[in-house]
Amino acid sequence: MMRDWIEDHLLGKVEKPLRYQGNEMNAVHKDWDSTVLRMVFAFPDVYEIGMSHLGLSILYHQANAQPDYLMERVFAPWTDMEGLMRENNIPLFSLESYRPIKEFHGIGFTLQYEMSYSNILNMLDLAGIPLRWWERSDDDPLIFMGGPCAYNPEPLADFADVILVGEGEEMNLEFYQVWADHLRAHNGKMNKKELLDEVVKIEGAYVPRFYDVAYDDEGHVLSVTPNHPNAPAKIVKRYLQHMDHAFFPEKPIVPYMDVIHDRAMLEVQRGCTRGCRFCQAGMLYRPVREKTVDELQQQARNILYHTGHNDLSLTSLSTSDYTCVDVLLRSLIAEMQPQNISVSLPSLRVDNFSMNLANEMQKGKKTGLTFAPEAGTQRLRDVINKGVLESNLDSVARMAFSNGWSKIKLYFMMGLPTETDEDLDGIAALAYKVLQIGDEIRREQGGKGPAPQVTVSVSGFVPKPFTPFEFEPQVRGEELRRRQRYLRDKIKHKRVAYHYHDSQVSYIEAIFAKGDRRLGQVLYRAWEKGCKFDGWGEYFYVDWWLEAFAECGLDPEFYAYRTIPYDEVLPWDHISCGVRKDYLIKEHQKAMRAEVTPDCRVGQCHVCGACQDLDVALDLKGGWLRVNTNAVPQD
Amino acid sequence: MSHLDLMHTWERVIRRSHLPLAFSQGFNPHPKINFASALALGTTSDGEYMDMELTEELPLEQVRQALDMAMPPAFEVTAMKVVTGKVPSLMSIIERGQYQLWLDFVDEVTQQQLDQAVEQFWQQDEVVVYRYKKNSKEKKAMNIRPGVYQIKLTADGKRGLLEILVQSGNEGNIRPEEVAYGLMSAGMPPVQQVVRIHRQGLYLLNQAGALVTPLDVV
Repeated sequence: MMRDWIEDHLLGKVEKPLRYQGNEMNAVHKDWDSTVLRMVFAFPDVYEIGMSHLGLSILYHQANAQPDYLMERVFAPWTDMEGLMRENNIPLFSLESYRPIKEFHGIGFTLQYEMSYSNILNMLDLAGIPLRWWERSDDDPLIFMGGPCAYNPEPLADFADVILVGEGEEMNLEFYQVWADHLRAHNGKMNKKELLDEVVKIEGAYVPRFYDVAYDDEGHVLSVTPNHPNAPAKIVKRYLQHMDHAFFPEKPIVPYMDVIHDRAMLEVQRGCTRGCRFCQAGMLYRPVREKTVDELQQQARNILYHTGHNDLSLTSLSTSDYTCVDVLLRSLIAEMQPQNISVSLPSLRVDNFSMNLANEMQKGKKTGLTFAPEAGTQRLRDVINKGVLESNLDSVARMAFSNGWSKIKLYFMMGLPTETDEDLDGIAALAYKVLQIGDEIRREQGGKGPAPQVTVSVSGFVPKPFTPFEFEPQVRGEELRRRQRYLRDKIKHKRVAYHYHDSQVSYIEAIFAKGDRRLGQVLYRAWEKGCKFDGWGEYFYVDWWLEAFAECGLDPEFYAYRTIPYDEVLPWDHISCGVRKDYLIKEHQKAMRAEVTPDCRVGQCHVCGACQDLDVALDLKGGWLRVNTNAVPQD
Repeated sequence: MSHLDLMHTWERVIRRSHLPLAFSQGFNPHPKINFASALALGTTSDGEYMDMELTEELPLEQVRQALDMAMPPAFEVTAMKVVTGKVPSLMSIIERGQYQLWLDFVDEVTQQQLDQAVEQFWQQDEVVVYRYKKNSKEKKAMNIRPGVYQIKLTADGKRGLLEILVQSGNEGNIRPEEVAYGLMSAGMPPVQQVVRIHRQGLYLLNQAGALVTPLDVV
C-alpha cells in the first residue's frame, strides 16, 4: 500500500506530518468503484491554510453528499515533503485514499490568491500531469478552477480546461451532472472535446480555449471573441438567489493539527455593499444575501455537535453588518457559554455598535482589538469610500480602552490612488491619537493594568479587476519604499509598533491580478526557474519573476504601472460579476472628486447592475441596515 | 502528532461524545483532561493513559460507547476505570516507558556486532549523549546509563529492531533515540536513520519492583 510506504519512509522526516495524514474526523471516504465521477479538490497552498477555507468545506461536502460523486482533497506539499516525494518518485496523492491524483477524472483548483498560481503548476507537475491543456490527453484529468481569482482567469488560460465563474454551490452540481452523464455514455472514459462542447453550454462555465484574443502592436487587448459555436460572448457569474437553504456543511472535517482558523465557521451572509473602492470581494459577491437567525442557530448547533469545537466564528465579509447580528449573537452566547464555547466575529468595523458586540463576546481575557481605517486622512478615506470618520475611531478607542483592552491594531493601505505624504502623516497622527486616548483613560483609572500599545500595520495597495480602481496604476516600487521609510521615520515611539509588508510581492500580485493570457508563458518560465510558495516570503524570488518576463519579451510595468483609459478593452471584459463597468467608471470618477457613495443597504440603490442585470435582490432579514448617522456620510 | 494537537483532539472527541466534561473555574475554563506523558511528534503508541473528570458518574460502558462514536479512525480506547476521590496525577506516578525503534543500518550487521555493543553499553558507568536545551543551540551533556533498564537489539540485514525499557516520568525522561546514540558510542555499527519509534507502554513499579500499568494501581 502506498499509504504504508509513505507513512514509514517519508512522514517521519517532514516537519509537519499531519499535513499529509488525512483520516480526520468527518473526512469522507467513499468507495472508488461505486462512484461515477471522481474528483480532487486541490488547494494550492499548505494544509493548514486550505483547511481554514470555508469554500473547500462547502464544495467538498456538497459533492460528497451526492452518491455518484467522490471528491477527495490535496494540498501543496511543503518543500520538505516535495523534496522527499521527488526523490522517491512519489506522485502527488490525495489525502483520503492516498491515490495519485492523476487517477481521478478531474482536479479542481481554487483560486484564492494570485501568488498561489506557481503552486498550481508545481502540483500538476508533481502529479505527473502535463501542465498545458494542449499537452494533456483524454486519459489525463480535466483541470477546472474557480474562486475569486476566476473572475480574471486569463493568466491561467494555458493550464485550465474549464473555469467556473461565480458561486460554486450554485453551479457545481450542474457541471458534475453534465460530466457524469458524459462518463456514463463513454464507459467511464472522457472525450474532452465532446465533453467541453457540452460544458461550455452551462451558464458561468468558461473554456478559455474557445476564445481568441487579439492585441494591438503595443500589447493592448483589442478583442476577445468566441471561436466555438456554443461559447457565449459574455460569461456571467453564477450566484445563489437566497442564502436560505443553500448547502452548508454541518459535519465539517476536524483537523488534527492547529490550522489557521481552528474553529467552527458559520457563514451568516454573503456579500458586502459598503462599497469600499479598493475591495474586490465587495464587488464580486453582490448583492448582500443574509441567512435567517433560525437557520443559523440550527446550523451552529449542528456544527458544534458534530465537530466538538470550542469556538464558533460568525464569518462573512463584514459580519457586524448582518442586520440581525445582535439577536443572533446574544442567543448564541446564551446557548453556548454554559458549554464553555466562545462565539466570535472575525473582524470589527470602526463604530460603537461593533464595539458593543466585542464587549459582549469577550467576557474573559481582553488582549487585542483590530480596526481597519485603511487610510490616514478623511480626504483619502472618502476617496476609497471607507465610511470611517476620525470621531468614530476616537470613540471606539475610548470604549476599547475603558473596557479593559490595552492593545489596538490599526490596518492601513499604502499607495492608494491620490495618496500624498500628508496622508502618511495622517496615519502616524491617528496612531498617536489612539495611544494618547489610551494613556488618558489609563490615568483616569489610576494607572492600573498594562500600558496601552498601538500597532500600525501597513500593506501595499494592489489594484484589482472589477473594482473602481482597476484603471489605476500601482505606485512604483521605489516610490513605495520611500513612503515606507517616510512613515517609519514618523513613528518613533516604543509603544507604537510599525509593520510593513513586502512591496515586491504586491508588484507581482498586481501584474497577475490584471494580467492577460500572455502571462501564461511567464508563469510557466517562472515555475521552471523554481518559483513556488510566492506568498511565503522565504520562497519569493522577485528576480526569477523579472527574468521570466524578460525571457518572454513582456514588460511587467505594462501591467502594473499603467493608467488604463476607460474605453480600453480589459483582458477580463468578457466576464461579468454583475456589477457594470460603467458603474465602476462612475465610482472611479467620484473617487477622484473624493465623493462618497453610501451603502445601498441603508435604502438607496445606486444601480451598480447586480440587482438589475442578475435575477437576484438584496435579501436583508432585519430591515434596512442601521448605521451610526455619522459613520457613513450621506450623498 | 504533537502533544498539543493531541490534547485538542481529545477535547473535541469528548465534546463530540456529549459526556458531561468538567471544566476548571475562572475566566478561561479548561477541560479537566490530563495525560500521563507527552508523546513525541512522530512517535506511534499503543499504550497511552489519560484521565478526564466528568460532572456526574456514568456507567463505564456508556462512557466507552460515547467515546467510540466520537473518535476519529486510528484512536482506540482499550481499557477504562472509574477513579473517585483524590488521587495523584497520572503524570506523577509514571516511572518507565517501553519502546521499539526500527533502525536502518548503513551496512549489513551481524548479531554478534550488536550483542557486543549492548554488552559494552552495560559495562559502562556513564553513557553520555547531548541534548539541545530548549530554544537554544546550546548542548547539554547527559548520562543516560542509569535511566536504561532493558535493551534488546536484533537485526535482519540492514534493518534493526531495538527494544528498550527506560526511565520516564517526573524523575526524568530518557528519549528513546538517545539509547540508539548511546549504543553507537558503545560500538554499535552506524545507523543511517531511525525509521520509526513506537511506544508500547507506560509503567510504574509495584512494591516487588515489577512493572504494572497505571490501570493496575488506581
